[in-house]
Amino acid sequence: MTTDPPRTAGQSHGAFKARIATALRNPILQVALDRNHERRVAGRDLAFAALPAAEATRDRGRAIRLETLSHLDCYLERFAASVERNGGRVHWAADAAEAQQIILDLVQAAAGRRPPGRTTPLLVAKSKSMMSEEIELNHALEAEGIRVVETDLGEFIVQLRGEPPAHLITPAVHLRREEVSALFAERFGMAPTLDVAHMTALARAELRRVFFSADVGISGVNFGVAETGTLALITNEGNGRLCTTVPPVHIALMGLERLVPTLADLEVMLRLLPRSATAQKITSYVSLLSGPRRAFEPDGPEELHVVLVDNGRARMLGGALAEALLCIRCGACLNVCPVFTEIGGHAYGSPYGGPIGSVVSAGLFGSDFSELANASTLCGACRDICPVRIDIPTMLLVVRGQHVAAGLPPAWLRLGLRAWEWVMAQPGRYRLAQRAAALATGLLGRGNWVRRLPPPLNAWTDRRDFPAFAARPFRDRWKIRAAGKAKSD
Amino acid sequence: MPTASPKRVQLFVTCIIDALFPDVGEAAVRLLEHAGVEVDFPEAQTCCGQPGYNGGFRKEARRLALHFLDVFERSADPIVTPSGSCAAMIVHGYLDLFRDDPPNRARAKALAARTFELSQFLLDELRLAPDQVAGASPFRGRVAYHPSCHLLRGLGVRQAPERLLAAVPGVELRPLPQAAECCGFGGLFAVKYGDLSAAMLDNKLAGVRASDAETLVSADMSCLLHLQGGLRRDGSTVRCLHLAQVLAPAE
Amino acid sequence: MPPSRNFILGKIRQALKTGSHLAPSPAVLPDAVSGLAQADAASQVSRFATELQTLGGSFQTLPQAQAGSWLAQCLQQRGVNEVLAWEQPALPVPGLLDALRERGVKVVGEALPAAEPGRSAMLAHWETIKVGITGVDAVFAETGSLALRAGPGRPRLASLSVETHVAFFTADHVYASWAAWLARGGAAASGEALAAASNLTLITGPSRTADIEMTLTVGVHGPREVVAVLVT
Ligand code: SF4
Repeated sequence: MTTDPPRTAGQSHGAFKARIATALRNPILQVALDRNHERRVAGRDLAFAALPAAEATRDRGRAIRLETLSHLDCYLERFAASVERNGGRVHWAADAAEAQQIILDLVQAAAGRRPPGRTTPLLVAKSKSMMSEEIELNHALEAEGIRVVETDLGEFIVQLRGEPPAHLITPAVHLRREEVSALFAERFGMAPTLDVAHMTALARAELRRVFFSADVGISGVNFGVAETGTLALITNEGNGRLCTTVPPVHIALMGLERLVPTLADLEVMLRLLPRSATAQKITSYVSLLSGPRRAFEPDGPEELHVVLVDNGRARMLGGALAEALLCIRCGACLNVCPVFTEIGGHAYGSPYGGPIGSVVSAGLFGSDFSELANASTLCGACRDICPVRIDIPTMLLVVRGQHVAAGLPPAWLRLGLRAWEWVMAQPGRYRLAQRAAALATGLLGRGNWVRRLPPPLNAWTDRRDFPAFAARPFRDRWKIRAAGKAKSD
Repeated sequence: MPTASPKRVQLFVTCIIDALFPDVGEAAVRLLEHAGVEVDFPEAQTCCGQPGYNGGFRKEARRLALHFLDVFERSADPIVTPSGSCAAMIVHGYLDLFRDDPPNRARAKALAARTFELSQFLLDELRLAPDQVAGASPFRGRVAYHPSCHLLRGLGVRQAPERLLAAVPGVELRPLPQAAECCGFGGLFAVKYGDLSAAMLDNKLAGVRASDAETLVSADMSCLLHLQGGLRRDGSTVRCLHLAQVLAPAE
Repeated sequence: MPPSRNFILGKIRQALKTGSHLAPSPAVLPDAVSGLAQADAASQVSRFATELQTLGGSFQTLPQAQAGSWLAQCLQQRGVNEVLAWEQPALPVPGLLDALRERGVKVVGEALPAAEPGRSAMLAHWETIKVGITGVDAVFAETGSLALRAGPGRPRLASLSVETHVAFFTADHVYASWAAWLARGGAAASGEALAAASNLTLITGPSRTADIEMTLTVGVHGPREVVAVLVT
């Protein structure tokens, strides 16, 4: 159903800049993103103001995630053993291709559980999973003739539009009700309306059929609890519960870093995640899934499979970006980010956008994605809001360092920075350069400000004047002053 | 009025102020001297290395950081700089730059402990009363304060500049909408992603207009370079001044 | 054992051995457990009610003897004569289901067959049922949440595929918060109990979404009505 090109295409600086320009010119997107920014950040701040011991809870959340990552091998083994003890099955996938193959095999095997005589294509009901975006699962399944339906309302909308989600928490953040209405009118013959409740009811009815005829439910996982083998799904709509309860087979897909040690630790994370994501104390549903339906239970899936995906995480764990693995995917750093608020999620060209996405994309997918980290002012709003206090600006700088080490910046920048360093390393050269610059900008400028500079600096003067360099810099004035002082003493 | 015991500081003026806005450096000196602080200017200073560091040119940035350490280690006096951004570079950035170089990391750590942004130094370190610092300023006018990201979130200096501005008899302080939001400067970012930076600038300038201020004040000339450049292009009469220029006594 | 497991664990061990970039995890975790204070029962119930109602849920207190007739009346008002329900032993109101049956309400909730075609056929029937009746394992005052565990005679869908979910509980079920239940709920709240059932769901108000223009809409996939009934 979706038709995006392979991911690494379009990751050049030029392609990224073109997507940014498109986003900046899209008035619908601009309105939607401003609204997202204002409401989400204000809501989140209120939610944390009302949380007792909020800062200590954040410290604890961070400590829990650090503890997990520092002994990830042990917790993974414990988690896997617990899942199997509960009757689930654990599958390990080293990369996206292996994960796709495992899931494809499981879905095809589910054909054996079909009611006799059913000949429609195998149907997968999916609830939100960023991992499935990361491994491009839908493509892989659809290529084998399997029908995959996203059941989260926002994901359902973007899937119908042939787009990836634009935000970790709010996949259709870039759309207004007008776009959704037009889409539903076209796809389902809905009579024109701007009533959100009506559109929601229509989606409910469409998806209801999917839940009750799906062969397999696929979900993401917010946290896996090592102690108990429990999968925690934190949702509001109820689609996550339906996907994991009604179909006879449930496949849960998770990055292997997504663990907490104990149930008590999960409780702490649960105080942080909904407040950060949607300003809720708790979401409508917290599903704690421990294994498939037991013999004594009246309903639930007959099989539960957990697919643990590495896809670059183990490598990241050993490098300077390890801290980014603490992320609990709350989306708060996206909401607060002034750059995300201008360009939205699609401009990044990665399943993970925004501040943390720029780090994670480079960490998981390599230097093809390191340009994203340059699109930041390092303003630090993300670090302040992150519930687990990830130092995102410092991580962005690490990515930039890798970008330079890989020789990726344009020549003008490489030369410019080297020249700058050469000049600045020695006060004499620095003084000479100041004189030269004063002379040059004096010639270019009228009055004290320059209106036009040559490329690449025209990117500055397209929107702003630039001040002329001072004919007498501070250090000269200081000398004169010191001489005057010496005389008067 | 009793002031803190006579103090000496090393002024790190920053390359932007040195080369583009020397008036700001002079105002900072007047302000410090008015507060009873003796100012020294180590002449071998150049740039803290931030442009390279922020651009990912860590090797180049490290060389300049080492130069900075050499220059400012010659004296044990505190280092004061009229820039939240450059102060944050020295206080936090150097530790990251030397993360794999323990001896230089130790040097950076020691220097960071005695490096301060100007308003932070006057109020938090010397513990002067705001009117002792700013009471003699002849400035008059409606002022909005833009907290630069690196001062606000990088160094955690949240109140000092506005407390100082409020102590200037002629200042009428106007609230700036969305004050804590980034102005979109970001160094190289403003050139590499010029249109994105400009969109952020537009948001900030809308706030400035709404504040009805005549003067926009900040503790970082890098933000003000960008903001003043945009205001001039818009034909606005709002002028940008560094905090020190508003607080300092007359020449 | 599939090779990827050992391959991945090996890579992780290698990374942890060489990687020094992660801040050390503190030996003692900073304590931040809140909501443990057990306030008096009445104020907890009223907190629960307020939280639930704020989110669009309903709250009701009833003497045990009246629960059956009240429920039957509710069903009648909705024009419903069939419910998806937990079995009687899992409900805190003795004789509740019989009271419904006496009034002509059909009570559904027997186990689904594990195999086809029975499983799908029975699900297709359940899917049409509009009201679900359940008990709870606990309720949490701080958030207005209901905790429901799967188990014998406790269909998960009774709180999920229906339009209206009615949950009965008693004063014994009330805890300040999930943290308080974990700390004081004994074996029923433990990790072992959690792992012994396929599912424990914390339900807080009706199903909701804000995916279109951040406009709040209730009842998207789960129930649009959640009624919590305290029986005394
Ligand atoms: S980095 Fe922090 S704020 Fe951003 S999504 Fe992850 S946990 Fe949330």
